[in-house]
Amino acid sequence: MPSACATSTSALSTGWAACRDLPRDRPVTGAFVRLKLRLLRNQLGRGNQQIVGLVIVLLLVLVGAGASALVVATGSAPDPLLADLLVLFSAVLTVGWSFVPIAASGVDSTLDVARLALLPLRGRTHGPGLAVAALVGVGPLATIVVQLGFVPHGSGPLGMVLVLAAVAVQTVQVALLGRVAVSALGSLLLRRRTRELAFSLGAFLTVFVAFGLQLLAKSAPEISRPELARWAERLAWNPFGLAGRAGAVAIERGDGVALATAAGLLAGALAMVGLTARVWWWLVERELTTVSGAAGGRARRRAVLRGTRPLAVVAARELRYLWRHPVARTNTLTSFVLSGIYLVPQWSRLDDPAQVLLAATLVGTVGLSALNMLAIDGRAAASDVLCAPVPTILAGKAIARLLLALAVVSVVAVVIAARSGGWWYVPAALGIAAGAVGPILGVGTFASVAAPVPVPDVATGNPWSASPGQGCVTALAAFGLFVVAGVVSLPIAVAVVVAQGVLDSALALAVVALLAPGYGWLAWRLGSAAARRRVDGRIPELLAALAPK
Amino acid sequence: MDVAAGAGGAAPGAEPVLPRSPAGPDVPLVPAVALRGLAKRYGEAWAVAGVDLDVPAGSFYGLVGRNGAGKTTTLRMLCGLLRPDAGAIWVLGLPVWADPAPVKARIGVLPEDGRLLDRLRGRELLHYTGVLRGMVRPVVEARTEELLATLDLLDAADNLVIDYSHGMRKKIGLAAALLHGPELLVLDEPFEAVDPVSARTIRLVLDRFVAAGRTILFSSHVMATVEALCDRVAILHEGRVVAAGPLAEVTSGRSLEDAFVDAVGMRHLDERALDWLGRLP
Repeated sequence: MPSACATSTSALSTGWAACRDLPRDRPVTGAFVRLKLRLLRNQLGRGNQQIVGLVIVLLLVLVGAGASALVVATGSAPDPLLADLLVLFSAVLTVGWSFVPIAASGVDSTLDVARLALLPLRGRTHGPGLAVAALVGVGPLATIVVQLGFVPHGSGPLGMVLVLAAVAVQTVQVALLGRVAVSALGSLLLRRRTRELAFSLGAFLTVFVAFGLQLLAKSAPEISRPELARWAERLAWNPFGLAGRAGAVAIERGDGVALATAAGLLAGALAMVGLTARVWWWLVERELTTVSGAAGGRARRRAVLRGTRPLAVVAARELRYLWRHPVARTNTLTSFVLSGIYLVPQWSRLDDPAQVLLAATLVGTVGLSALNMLAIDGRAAASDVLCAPVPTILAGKAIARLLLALAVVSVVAVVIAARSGGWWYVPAALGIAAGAVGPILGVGTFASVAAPVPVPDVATGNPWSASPGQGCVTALAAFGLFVVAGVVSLPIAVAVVVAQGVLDSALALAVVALLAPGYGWLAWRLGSAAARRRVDGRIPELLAALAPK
Repeated sequence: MDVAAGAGGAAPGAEPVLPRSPAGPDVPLVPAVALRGLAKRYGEAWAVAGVDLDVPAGSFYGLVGRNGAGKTTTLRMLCGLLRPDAGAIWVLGLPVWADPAPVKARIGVLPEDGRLLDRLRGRELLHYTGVLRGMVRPVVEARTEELLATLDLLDAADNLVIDYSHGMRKKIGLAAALLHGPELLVLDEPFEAVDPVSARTIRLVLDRFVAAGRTILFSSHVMATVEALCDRVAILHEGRVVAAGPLAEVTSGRSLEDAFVDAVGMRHLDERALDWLGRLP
């Protein structure tokens, strides 16, 4: 039975009355800044790849930002245009800083308040430090640098001071907004299911945003000056862009009324900063006292995919994994979304029945994950290789991707056929796709053992996170391998063009569709054989590469 | 109850004045930790279902239970890391959930799944932990070196924590928990994956900690460790305390493992279960 808890609650407090003399809080803002710098420095110390990555980032972001600032600062654009641009830029910063830190959560240690949960954090002493630490880094620096270009355009010395103050306040505002976004989702992101769902949906969002940005970049040169002004007017309500508006007013006019208006807007912006800081700290305190709801869980569903032969077992398991693992699911969903995006602009031109064949090109998006097939849950690879030979594991994983590729191609081909009436082309598209995916799987099988790249543990909660600091090396390698796969696939593409475009023969296309899978199979087998030779006797090195310490 | 009259609010870096019983060890002390009706639910399941427990100041208190019994959830709630759904918690006389910060300032915690700033080196981790706790730099530096040496981490002090083994992470986590000289130490599975030599060192450190009148509350699955270290123990089962008190009282002449199994029950293994393990292929 429970022990007697004889002490009264009043005695509990009075017995330790002297404990109420709390230690005096010391400001620790400097310590947080040093901590952030130290973490950044330690990150660089992990190897040359990190330094290469940093140099690339510095070139792309900081030099780009500096050049932009220089163009704005020395340009002769009319003040109203610059004022509108500053308002628009404030809106872009608001949106960007609200989403990017969420994508980076779990990667940057100082931004993860959960790692500081054991400390007696207080808003007054630790809040400013955490906020200032959020301003340390390449991204925040670029944000400041770009805005500095507007400063010389302030109307008179007082105007310039006001624009400078506006830049400072705007930067703090958006940095705090980023903290609010991370902390608001912090407790949600700690729940596995929510986190995985959010990130999977985030994958959709990312692709759509990228697509939207492309459209914007395409149409930006056509935006007229009045249209820009209208956009600036529409976005001027943005409460988190008050400082930007203050700067815009100080750029546009230099009279006393305008400067007073700018100062008033700046005061409003400061009030918003205070309010955002309060909301943020409230969210931090909530975040510090919440953990993952690990208990409970839904009843197990009957396993649908089963198999008895090792190859079938690995393929079935891989299909489950492609859906269940956050990183794999994000990739899978992205490939589906890409299919949708692919269709949208083509929709008005899909009257030709032969356009169904275009669906076969989608194997490329599905095949992307084939280039690094062993990396998801790389730490579990050790137990995997104890159960089955590596070539069998790779073959099973390749089969899973083949099935997924054919599923995507089928859906898209049927949709196009429904639009164009080209139903005859659906089996042809599937045959061609089955052939085209072979070279990708062959190259992928070899690359998976020859150049495996570790994928971080999902404990970071961030399926976008690459192993820290790989820079562009991984992306460049993937691009190179993809080009090789494309070259190996070229005979199929040429055969299709000749059969359909030159000969315009249904029989020739049927022959190509029938022969293509054979060619694909051959390419895959060649890649598998090369992988088998590569991995022979090198399993310890492979495991070490997949799960580095 | 004047036993705790000397309890002092220790400024970081200063030696705290700890509560002692002038009347001797048999006089009950004011609890360092007091839990009343503590409860926490995850979804429909109650992880902690009404825990009442007193941990006397100056005791070495063991919390044992099966997997999922509610040990970690209880410890997290009393450290101010997890908000309870019901009940009250006093730690060192302070109601934890009125304001967790002053409680965190006075306790040291080694959580089971401690997330550390693992992109710091071991020495840096201790340095920043101390500085962010408001300790003065010379004290932090002196204690850091002493703790690193005591816990046999000096050789790895300049390695990134992410490169540490599991046992080394436990040790650096313990060092971070001890750095500010807490009055109460809350340890969740502190000996997990720690080598025998280091485990003995940690035991000596903890014994010295308790001998100075401070309190340790720790959870473990290893009954032998609890039996060897603790003077008091509580057995948690399905979110409730099923037995608690001085070790001798709880065990009543049995081993702690037997007392534990008796308290929580054990499903007997079917004689034919796993009989295939006895057959050679």
